[in-house]
Amino acid sequence: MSAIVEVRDLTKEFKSRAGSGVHVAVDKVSFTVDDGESFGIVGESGSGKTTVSRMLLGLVAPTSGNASVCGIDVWNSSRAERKQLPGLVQVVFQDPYSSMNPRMTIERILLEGVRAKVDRGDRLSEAERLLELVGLPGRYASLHPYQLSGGQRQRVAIARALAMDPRVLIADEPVSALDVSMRGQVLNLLADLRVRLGLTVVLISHDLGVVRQFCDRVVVMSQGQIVERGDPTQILTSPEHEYTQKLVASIPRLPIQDGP
Amino acid sequence: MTEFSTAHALLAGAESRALEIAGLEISIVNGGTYRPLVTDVTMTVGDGEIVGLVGESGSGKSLTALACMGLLPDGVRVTNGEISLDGSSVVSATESDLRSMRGPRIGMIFQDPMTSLDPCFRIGRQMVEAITEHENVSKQAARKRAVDFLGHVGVPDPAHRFDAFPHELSGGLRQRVMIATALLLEPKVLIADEPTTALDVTTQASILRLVHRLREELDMSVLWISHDLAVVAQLADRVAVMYAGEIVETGDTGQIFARPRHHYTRGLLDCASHGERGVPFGYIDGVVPEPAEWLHGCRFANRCARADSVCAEHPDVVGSEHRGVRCHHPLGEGRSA
Amino acid sequence: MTTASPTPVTAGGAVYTAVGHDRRRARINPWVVGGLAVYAIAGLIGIIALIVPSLSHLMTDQDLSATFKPPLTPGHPLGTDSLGRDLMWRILGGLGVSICVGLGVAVISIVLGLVLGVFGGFFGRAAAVGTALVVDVTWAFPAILLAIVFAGWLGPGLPAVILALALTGWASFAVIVRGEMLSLRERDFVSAARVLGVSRIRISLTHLLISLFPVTVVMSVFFVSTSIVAESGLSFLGLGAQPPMPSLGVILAEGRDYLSRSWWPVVFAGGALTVLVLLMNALADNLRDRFDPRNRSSR
Repeated sequence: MSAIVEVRDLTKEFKSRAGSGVHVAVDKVSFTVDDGESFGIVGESGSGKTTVSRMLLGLVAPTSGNASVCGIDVWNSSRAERKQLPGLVQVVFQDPYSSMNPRMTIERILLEGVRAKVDRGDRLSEAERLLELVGLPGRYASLHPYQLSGGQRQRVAIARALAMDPRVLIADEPVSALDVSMRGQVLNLLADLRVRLGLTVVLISHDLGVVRQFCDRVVVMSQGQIVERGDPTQILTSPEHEYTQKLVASIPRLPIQDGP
Repeated sequence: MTEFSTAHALLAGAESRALEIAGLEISIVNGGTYRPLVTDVTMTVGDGEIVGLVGESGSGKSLTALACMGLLPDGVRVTNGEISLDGSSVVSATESDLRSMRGPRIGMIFQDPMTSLDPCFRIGRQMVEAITEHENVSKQAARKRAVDFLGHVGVPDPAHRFDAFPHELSGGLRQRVMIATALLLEPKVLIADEPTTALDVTTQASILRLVHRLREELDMSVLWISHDLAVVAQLADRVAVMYAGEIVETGDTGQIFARPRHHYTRGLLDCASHGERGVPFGYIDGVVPEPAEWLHGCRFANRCARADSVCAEHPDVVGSEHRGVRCHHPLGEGRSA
Repeated sequence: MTTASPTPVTAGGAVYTAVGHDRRRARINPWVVGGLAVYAIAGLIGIIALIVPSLSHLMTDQDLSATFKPPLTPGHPLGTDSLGRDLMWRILGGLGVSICVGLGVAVISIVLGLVLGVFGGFFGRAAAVGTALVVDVTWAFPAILLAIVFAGWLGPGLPAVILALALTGWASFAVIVRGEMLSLRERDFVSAARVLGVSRIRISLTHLLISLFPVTVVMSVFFVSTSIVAESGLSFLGLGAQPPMPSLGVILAEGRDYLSRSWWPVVFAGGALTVLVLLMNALADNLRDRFDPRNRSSR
């Protein structure tokens, strides 16, 4: 399996608010993601998991280390190479309310990244195609975000990412802001798209249970470092690192057996 | 009002119930018209009992909690039913009655500790203020008690933290401070509205342990509101499930989770339980309705696989408060149809 | 599937979503709008009169036999000044000048403020440092000094005044815009656009400017009113409108010299100026209220 995302000794330091010293948000993090894989990054707030994703997406510059997608170094390549990145890696953010401009129509939102490539006449049909891809009716293209539920907005966010036809999709806590009864649809959609389109999905979450059900491999982060990595089921049943043990022990359990 | 809630209203005060809600209806009142947001909620919290109130957004769970404290926002009022705290009515209480009740008789903790902690003042001062407002004790005595409680809830180095400002503490510590402040006056009932939702799972676990311990030590009653079924399963003795402004199922924790009777509860459990790699995630088709969209019959009918023409009639709660369900076709013992 | 509906996220969300539709939006006070409409018409008449030669003489014709005529004199509803010029036409002309200056300064300041504020707030560290420097220098610069410099260079008159006011005024707006940028640029929809490969300039035009619209409108009104007052002050000092062109400041200056003999130039010109500024500030207040709570409840 070839590696499609490679992160090596990635580090991010922020100047501490008090002025003295630095806060190390991400500390020499290294991992690879294979093509077509479903990969999880698990951690609580302050673990650095979101900062890692932002560095991978080109939003926050690393202090040191490398991150590359499909062989292109996100921060040290030529401008021409970096221009290819939006077509290779895309993102779905946590908050379905603030990730879209409320004043734009769904159609405009969906096509924002591909405006130049789509002719005026084809815009509506392309928007409808994307909506159908995520299981939403085509007529939603003329609506505004406030007219949709949180789960529907997240599906629009996924469709917007897919408009770029990426190889890798980073989903940063994609369902945490949604009602419990609506999370499954979005997660199933992501799993389904991964298989259908051959996508590589990186799922960032604080929920080990979700990650176990969704991901092939996982890294656990705490305070900027990767403390454990491997098969999610194994980590859940026999965690090795002290932090992971604490984490697993703290997860509140439902007193029923899983199953139909 | 259902028949059993009427009976409860008649029996009010007959048994020792810390918090009693009967036939509660909360509505938005706009001039002459009103639109209900919560309807026919009947539940009690006994002495020393922890009751979990579970629901998603729009279920009405938070409004119910606010009504118990007399803290409903402007334009929103209790339009029917009764809430009584240790025998005294909250609904017909005046503002000054409520002020004297809040604190010594009923405490409340919220999701965001910053809403109840003033960022301009040190936490110690706020805690002392809470005590001296309601009790006739010296500042020294109040301070001692506050420091004791801080230690009690697991704040490290409490004498020192006493002088900290809220922003100097982590989220978990702030939440503990809020719990300590709420408990300072040893209320009969503690109402907690999603207090651990914004916290890390590890912090949450220690706060849940804390609440258990305090319940044992102080014989305190707790109404715990959450959307997280697993948290409620860990914590509560009894559970009430709310959907679209009404209670759809009540019961002991073990029973509700092992043998849910309402289809919504069943659906929520499916959603909350996670399986092995590759298993599809559970979800409930459809969208949680706004009050304007509530069906006249069963409000869950349009999302329920079992719904039929009978469900066009609004179901009442069947059973007792200790095991009740609002459904025409409740799931039987064992597997559902 | 039921029709799409927004799911309120927070506990009281259902309350706010429902109540928000019923809550009366802050209406713009019709008296304010009416008053400003009157001023707009008066100013327009003044501008026309200034330009059209057959009318402009009404403001500049001296009649030394009819000096210091009080208001309600036949032929001179507001009286005449020390040179027998009709006060009403001079005030109309003065209003026309004020509006030109106000709009001119506002447009230039807003454009400069937006461009530099967005640039400084969104285009990286170098841009931020550079614009901060320019803003600090500009802000410290007194407008009057610049007006004198421009008067020396271009000759005294309205262009010098407009340039001087605009080139010093934009800084305060740029700072506000830059402040807004600090929060706007962290918004998820901006991050999403950047990941989609949208250029920063495009993001500025499609997302940021629209979000800046409310603050821009409010500040525009503010700029118009302050520059009108400033122009009057500069004209009072002799740097603005040059005789025989009237301006509220010029009328005030001339009227001050003869206050003991005729109160009406100072009172009418000063009153017109005061009421105009009050109306503009009321409008700015109204607009700010209109934009603010609506943005909150529409979520």
